[in-house]
Amino acid sequence: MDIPPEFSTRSDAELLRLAVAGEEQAFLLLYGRLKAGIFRYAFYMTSSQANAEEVTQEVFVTLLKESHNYQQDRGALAAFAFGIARNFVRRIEHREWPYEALPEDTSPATSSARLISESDALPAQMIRTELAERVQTAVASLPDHYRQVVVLCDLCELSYAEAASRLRCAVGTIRSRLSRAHALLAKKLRPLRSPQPEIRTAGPEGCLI
Amino acid sequence: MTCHELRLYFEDPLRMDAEFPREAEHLAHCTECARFVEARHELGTGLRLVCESAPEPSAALEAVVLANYRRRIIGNPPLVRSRTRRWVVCWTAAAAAMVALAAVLLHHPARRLETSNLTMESAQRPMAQPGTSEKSANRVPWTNAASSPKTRLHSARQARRAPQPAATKSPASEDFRSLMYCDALSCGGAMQLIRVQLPSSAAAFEPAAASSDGAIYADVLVGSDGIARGIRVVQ
Repeated sequence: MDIPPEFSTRSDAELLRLAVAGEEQAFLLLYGRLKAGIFRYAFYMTSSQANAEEVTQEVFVTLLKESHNYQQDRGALAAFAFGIARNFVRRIEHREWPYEALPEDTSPATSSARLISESDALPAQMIRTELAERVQTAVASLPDHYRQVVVLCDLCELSYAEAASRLRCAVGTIRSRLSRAHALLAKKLRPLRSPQPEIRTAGPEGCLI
Repeated sequence: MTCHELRLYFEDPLRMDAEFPREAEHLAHCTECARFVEARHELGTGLRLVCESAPEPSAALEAVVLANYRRRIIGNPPLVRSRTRRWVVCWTAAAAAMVALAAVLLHHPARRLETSNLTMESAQRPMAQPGTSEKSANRVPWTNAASSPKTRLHSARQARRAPQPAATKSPASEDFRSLMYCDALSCGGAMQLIRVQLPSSAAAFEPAAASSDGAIYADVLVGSDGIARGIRVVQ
């Protein structure tokens, strides 16, 4: 569907107003602008594509329903939509908390054996995929206030100022939380990175015997 | 350069500097800092991989969002709800159908107890008798409600608004099957008549009751405590 060029220069708030008034193309343009950020945030927070799509859908339904509650002087529409998304993510977490995954086995022996077998046998692409999965698991296991900043700044690639406006806190708070979150992540990944020396020198056979 | 300065420099794991000559000199001498930088580089690599491996929202999502928008703009009909809520509705409907089927199966004529000859009329006699106390006169005359073709649910308020004479003969004794033992104590309250649609599999027990589309309808008498007292398959 062709978007009229005059819509392209409109702000998000104006597009929402036009969309509520019945301009479908304005709604499509607004959806195109916001969907990626909302979907990525929901995906990284819930680790599920289905949940991320559910959140994205509900955010746009709520945007239309609660458009009168948006006050332009209090912040950007993207931040308003992010607030809605965050509430839905919390609801999903609350709904699914009984099914929380068991903590990962990070004992040095297990991790070292895994690392050695990967280094020797698996292709590089699989190791990269495995690393990505481990980092994602580590991010998911962070406390909520650290996870939010890692997802927003590192994974959704927002600036510190944008993340601060989304989370309604100071930029300094974002910086300090991000620093602590990185330290925690590095600590969680440490067993994979530096296996026990005696196991490493013994080789894979040493692990099996 | 001190260790503190170097750690500040490498604070961001996503830093993409390929060369850092000033810091390299320090790293060559300080193993702790070298380990720190290595850890941050690995974390940065992992975060970039996670970032690159993010899926894209499906095309179906856009279609659903657009459908929601169109329905909302046209006239606020019910929105297309999320997958979870649809499942809740489906499962609730399935459970209700199972309960209705179980009620029919449990009270199949072949399994009907001898006590079912105890008619609803005798069981409800204190309620239907004219000239009893004022309280009993205000009760819903469910026998008349059952004979009304257009109403499926009669409330006590409707009965008070348009009081009808108590029936001299209750059709329950002819049509309704007792679903539980009834006496003046257990069936003393007002009754409601609810018409329900049963699964087509219920036609095995009442073949004559099945309509052209295969649906079976039944009238269920429900007491004020919410427990079903009697059922009658609509012919």
